[in-house]
Amino acid sequence: MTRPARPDPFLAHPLALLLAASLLSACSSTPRPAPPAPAPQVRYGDAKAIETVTVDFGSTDLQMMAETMTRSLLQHKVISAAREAPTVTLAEVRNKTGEAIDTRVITEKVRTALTKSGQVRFAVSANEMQPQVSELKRQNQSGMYRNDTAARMGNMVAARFRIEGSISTIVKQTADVRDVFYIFTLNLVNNESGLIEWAEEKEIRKIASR
Amino acid sequence: MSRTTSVPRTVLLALGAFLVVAAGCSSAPSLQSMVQRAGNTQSVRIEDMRSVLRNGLLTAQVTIRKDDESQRVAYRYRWLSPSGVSVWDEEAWKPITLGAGQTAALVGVAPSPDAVDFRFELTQYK
Repeated sequence: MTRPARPDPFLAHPLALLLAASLLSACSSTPRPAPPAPAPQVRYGDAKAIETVTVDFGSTDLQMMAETMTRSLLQHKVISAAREAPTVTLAEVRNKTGEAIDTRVITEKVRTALTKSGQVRFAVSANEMQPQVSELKRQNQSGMYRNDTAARMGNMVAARFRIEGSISTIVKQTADVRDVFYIFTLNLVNNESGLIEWAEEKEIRKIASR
Repeated sequence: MSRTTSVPRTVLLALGAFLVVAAGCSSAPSLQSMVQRAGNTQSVRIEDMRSVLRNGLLTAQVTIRKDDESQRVAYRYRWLSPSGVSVWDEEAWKPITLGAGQTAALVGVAPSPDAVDFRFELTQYK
């Protein structure tokens, strides 16, 4: 007569089964979920600090170019010897580089500094003409304003001078070195005579190496 | 016969002491007080500092020199009104690399005729 096989007391215990299951799950090859990426650290930086993240046109280049142009123009006799602040407008600054440079931001920075100095007055540029015309039309043609308060048509002040220029680069590159030479030129042109009354250039060399 | 008058030595000493004290009490800032350094720039020497009024704007020139190994520094000017208040926002730092034994004359032009004085700021950058 054979005796029936008795179950293993260790395996029969529920706690033992739970322990075995947890060990098996720990040894399984299922990939664990990646830990969450650390939150980016956000901080304020010095807007005037030297920026050399890449060799491309950057904030320091913009600030140095605008500063050089502003100070040079303010010191020129066309501005400094004028009886009253000359009227100037912004014209085009051609981007001859291979980079996507917003040249408008350079000239607008120059304009802001010149205006703050009180030595120059700026007339709206061709790019800014549409809002000016729209406002004059709104005040004069919509029929909604009192005549004695509306800005009159035909009284805009024409600019005596215009500022125009260009920015160019010379780029040399090897496997380990990239050399970018920027040259930014601005001219002040007399709108009536066509004479270039003032010209200034700013050169900047930036080198990236491994 | 002509007579020569000799000034007593004590009077000369007193006069010298007065001049020394007067110079010490003068309000003109010293060259060192016009330079504000940050970072490791002590090895950059200020050789000369001068200014001139050109077409109504104060123009400053500071000459700096590095004797030993080359170093990258940055500089800017701060323009002051007669009361000592800045007449403009802070300028951008302008980088310059000074080679060993190199001298550089750094010119700055005030942004406004209101500026009558300046300070020269020098810092290191990497």
